[in-house]
This record gives sequence, structure tokens and C-alpha cells, in this order.
Amino acid sequence: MAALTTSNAISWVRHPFIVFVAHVIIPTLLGATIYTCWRSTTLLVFRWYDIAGLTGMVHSIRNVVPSAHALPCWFRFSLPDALWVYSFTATMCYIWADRDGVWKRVWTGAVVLLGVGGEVGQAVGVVPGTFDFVDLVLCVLAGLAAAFATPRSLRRACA
Amino acid sequence: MRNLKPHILSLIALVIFIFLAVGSQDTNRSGSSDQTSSSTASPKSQSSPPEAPRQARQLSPEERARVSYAKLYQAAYKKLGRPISVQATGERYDVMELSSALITEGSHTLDAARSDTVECSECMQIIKKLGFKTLTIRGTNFDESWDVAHSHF
Repeated sequence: MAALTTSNAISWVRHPFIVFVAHVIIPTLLGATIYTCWRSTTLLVFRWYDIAGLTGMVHSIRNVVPSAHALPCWFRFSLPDALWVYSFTATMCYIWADRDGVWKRVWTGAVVLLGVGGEVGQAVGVVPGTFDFVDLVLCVLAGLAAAFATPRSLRRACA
Repeated sequence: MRNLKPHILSLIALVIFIFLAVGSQDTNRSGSSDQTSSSTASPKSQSSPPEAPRQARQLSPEERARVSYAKLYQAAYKKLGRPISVQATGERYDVMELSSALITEGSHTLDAARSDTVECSECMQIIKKLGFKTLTIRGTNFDESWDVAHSHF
């Protein structure tokens, strides 16, 4: 009985949708959580919270979570960008999983270009924001990790 | 049609993720993100063009203009050739307002809820060079007392 339950659990975990949740939804939510809890309230997203009537809840959460200063800068500022690149790359890998060819590379490459290009654009001053080398490195690593891990997980899920 | 499906899905994903990226833009600084430079920030980011003096000149005395730690940090570095660090502990500071002075000295901590004002001559020198008269550091929750400290390095 226990073996059957374990087997069922494994087959459920290997469902393609779970791969999507693990590689796209969770990283996106984690990035959003970091923004919500530990970033400046002058960000546009806080206006959206205001419009949605969530400001009170957001401030309650921010008062409960540890102070932003207890967290390393890379966690607050670089990790959300890296998670964005990871989940975006994973999305493209998911969409183009059963296809191959130039378009798959174009779309996946577009994600990397957006993530890395944004950082490079900040460095040369054409994109607003502050260039940080840690951001750049984490974005590249996140893109590579997603491009490696997502197809692998999907293959296992569909096997 | 089947060949178009992944392109359509990719376009939808592109729109959603760009929408998420737009949410991270700062409403106070014409589209820049709120990323602050820290003591670990790269020299390249520190040498970015300073925005704080330009903002200060555009402000009327009545305006309570805000400037980020990052901008102040970068501007101070550019002007003085060395960084300053302003840290608030026990609260999320995030925003600096140009109004009254609440600058702490050395490792001294200040309970802002008591409206103590301690001036640090070095910080005031920096702030004046940046075109500001005074500087307020504040948290997002005024109900709580919170400590403000700064250090020079």
C-alpha cells in the first residue's frame, strides 16, 4: 500500500503541469514576494496593490517579515531579476518543449537578450536603473539553469 | 495553425513577463528601479551620473522631494570620490526625504520617534555639496520607533 502511494506520488510529481509550477510559477511568486516584502514602496507594483485594495495587507506583511537590512543585498536586488529570467526562460522551454528548430532558439534567446541586454543597457545608460555586475552574473546563470533544468524535468515528466 | 500556437503562447508569455518587469519600476524616479548601491556595489555602478543634485535643483522649498539611497550614494561618490553609507536598522528606510535633518553621528543611534536630531558634520558637508540643505531618513511605519545609524568607510 505504501509502495503504491509512493508510486502515485512520484507520478503526480512528474506531471508536466507540476514542472510548470516548479520552474515558472514558484520562481515568479518568490520574486514577487521579495519585491512585496523587502523593496521600496515607491515601486509601481505598490500602486497596483493600492488599486486592488491590498495596501493594508501588504503593509501588514511587511511589518511581520524580517527587516530588509537583515538580508543581503544580492537577495533583495539581484535575486528577483534572476528569478524573472529563470521563470521566463523556463516558460519558453516549456512552450517549445516538443519542438525544435530556429524559432525555439529565437524565443529562448530573446529572453536571455531581454534579461542580459537590460543589464548591459543599464551599464551604457540607455536603460533606466543601476547596473550591477552581480545582477548580470545571476541573470546569465539563471537563464542557463532554466534552459538546462526545465527540458530535463519535462523529459522525466513525460517519460 | 498548430505551428502558430507556440508563437502565440510565447507572445503572451512575453507580455506577461514584461508586465511583471514594469511593476518593478520606481514611480518616483521616472522609470528607474529602486535598486540601491551598497558597500558591495560595483565601481561602475558607483560612477553612474548623479541624479540627486539635478532633482534638488528642480524642487521648490515646499516640495517634499524624495531621493533614493542609491542616488545619494552615487552622487556622493561622484562628488567626494568616496562612498558614504546610511543605514537604518529595525525599519525599512528605503526613502530619503529632503526636509528636516535627522542625521546621526558615528555609530550613534537615533530614535526617530523621539524626534531627536543629531547632525554629523561630515554628512552635512556631503549633503550640502549635493545641493541639499537637510536630509531626513524615515521608515515606512511611523508608529514604531526605529533606529537610524550611519557609518563612514
